[in-house]
Amino acid sequence: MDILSELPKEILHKILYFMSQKEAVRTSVLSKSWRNIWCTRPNLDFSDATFKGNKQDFLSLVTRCLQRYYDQRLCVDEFHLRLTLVDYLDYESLVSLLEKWIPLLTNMGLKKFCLSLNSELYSTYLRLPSVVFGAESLQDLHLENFVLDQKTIERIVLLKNLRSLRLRRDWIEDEIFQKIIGSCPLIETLDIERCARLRTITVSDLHHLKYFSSSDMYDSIGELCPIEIHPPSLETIRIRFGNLRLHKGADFRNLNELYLLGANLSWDHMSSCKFPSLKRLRIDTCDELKETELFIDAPNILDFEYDGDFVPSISFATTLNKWCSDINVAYMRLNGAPSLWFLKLNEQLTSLIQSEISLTIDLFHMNDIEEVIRENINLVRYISGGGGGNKHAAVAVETLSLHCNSLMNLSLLHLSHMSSILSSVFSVCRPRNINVDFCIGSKEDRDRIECLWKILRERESGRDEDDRFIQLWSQDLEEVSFEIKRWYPVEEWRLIPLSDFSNYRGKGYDRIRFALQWRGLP
Amino acid sequence: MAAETGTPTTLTLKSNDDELFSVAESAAILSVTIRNMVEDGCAGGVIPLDNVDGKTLASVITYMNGISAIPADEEKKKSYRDKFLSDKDFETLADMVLAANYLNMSCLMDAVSAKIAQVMEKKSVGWVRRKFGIENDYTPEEEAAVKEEHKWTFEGVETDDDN
Repeated sequence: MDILSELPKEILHKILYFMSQKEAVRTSVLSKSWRNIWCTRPNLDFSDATFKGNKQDFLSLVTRCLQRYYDQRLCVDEFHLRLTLVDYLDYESLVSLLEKWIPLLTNMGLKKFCLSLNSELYSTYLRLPSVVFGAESLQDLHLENFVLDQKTIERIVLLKNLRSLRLRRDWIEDEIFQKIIGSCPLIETLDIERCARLRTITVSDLHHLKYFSSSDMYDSIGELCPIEIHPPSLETIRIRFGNLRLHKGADFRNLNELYLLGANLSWDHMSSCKFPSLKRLRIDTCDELKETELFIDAPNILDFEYDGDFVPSISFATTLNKWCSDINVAYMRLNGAPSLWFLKLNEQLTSLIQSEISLTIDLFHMNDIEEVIRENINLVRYISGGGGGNKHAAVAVETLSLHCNSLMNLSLLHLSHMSSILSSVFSVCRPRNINVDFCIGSKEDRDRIECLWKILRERESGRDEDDRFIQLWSQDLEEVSFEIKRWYPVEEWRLIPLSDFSNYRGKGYDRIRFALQWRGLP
Repeated sequence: MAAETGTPTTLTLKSNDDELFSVAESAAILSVTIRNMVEDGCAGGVIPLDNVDGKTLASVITYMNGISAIPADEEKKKSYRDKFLSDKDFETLADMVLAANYLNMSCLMDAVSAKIAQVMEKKSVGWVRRKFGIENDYTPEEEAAVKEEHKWTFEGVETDDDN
């Protein structure tokens, strides 16, 4: 049955919304009911990347289309144009066409305008025509690869409808940026990526700003670009390589989500800030955090994620016990003894004890086996005789994943280390599940699974020294089972005998794990 | 019988082929249509959904449960949607877009529409017709004329092997 063609026009427009102009127009050949659907869709998306003819033909195709929309009094809510410039003639015709198109588009109620250049021409000549900042109807403006200078903003009007501004790889100086921001007082979304010449981002005057994102912002000498914001209105902050200026005691009363990747910020000040609404916090590869004890006043946190190559020291002020933390940490033996690394991990896990913890350890650097055993002895000594009673009690962890294949792909080496490493891990935490990454048909992965099975089920490492450490946890481990989760039709964990697994043919989304039951853990 | 606070309320949905499904109210109200019925107090008994068959409704309920279990995190929601739609055939996608429209679920509607658009991308007209069961009611002459009119849109499209 032809279900699609009988759908109402609004639904077909919705499907066409996600297509480029070329794809949308081609649907006219499907059948008579599709013939004219594309003609009236309210968004236009032109890209010359898939256009075989010359640039002038492409530009006149766009012009004809806009003229037709205008003549038929249709609406254009969104207009996307991606253009590759080969010579200055193209650029000049684009400028004169934009002069012609933008009044038409404004007239047709244009709300969103995305203009993206791709060019190998010397970029300082590709100035954004000033007519763009005269389009009063705009709510959403994306500009890529343009030069924004004094001339660009000579016709700037008060863009009181503009809610969203995105600048990508544009060439813009601080003063011009400030003037643009100053004429768009109601901006709610601001997204800045790789803009050359912008040395500081000061958006503390945007009191309606809810979403702020800044990516890869460096100045000419490679320093991270300082960012000044107005905390109270913000709901989402995403900083990817930038320097966020935080003031002591700032109140981020509406902040829901904070994402920091490779960011610099005044961590001491962050400990004194208030995040009463914060639900999601992600800290990824922030090296300056290494020597800091970070305290986060986020009583409503739901989801915390840390990625890094050192164990951090982060604690939360929250009384909730239904939140998740996801700790992804690389085990690199750079300096300091591995036993101290595990102790630090134990301290970090202890301060997250109220949350449901997922722990992933990336084993970048394997120690030689003698050292691992020596360190295990140290670790056991610390933990059992630490002086402070149960100060170093092993922490319950929901899931544990061990990634051992980052640098070394010699699976045999991994397998011989597996038992020692598990003993170290079990002395600081008690995982309810151990997730195992696997590829269907990979012998290496199957060997790894069998090796884990041997250690966990049969408590056998094949080496006497390791067996001593296995005894330290094996009495607490009451039950082990091997489980599989298929993605479809019902997503749930099911037991599978290990013998069946060797013939298992599944799909890429399937997951496997060992489920562990520990004495004293509910 | 008013629902006690603290215990999750369950709704019963009925498909147009008389299958019954129970679903947590908190997940079901992702559908504005259902939410309105609940708010108007029509949810006491069984909620009839006259435009959705049992097979499609079962899928939609899987989606409702799955997506509402994810806390406010757009990235995770998006990857759930991608996963959810990854194994749906073309007929199911067409049924789902119709159901999402009727149930007024904008997030599902957008995801399924985008998926259909993505499936059609760069595919030959014959392939799209076959996969989505679109009946070609053009005469060969008419079809040739439409093709000629939009010749530029056929550059770089996969060639049709058996049509």
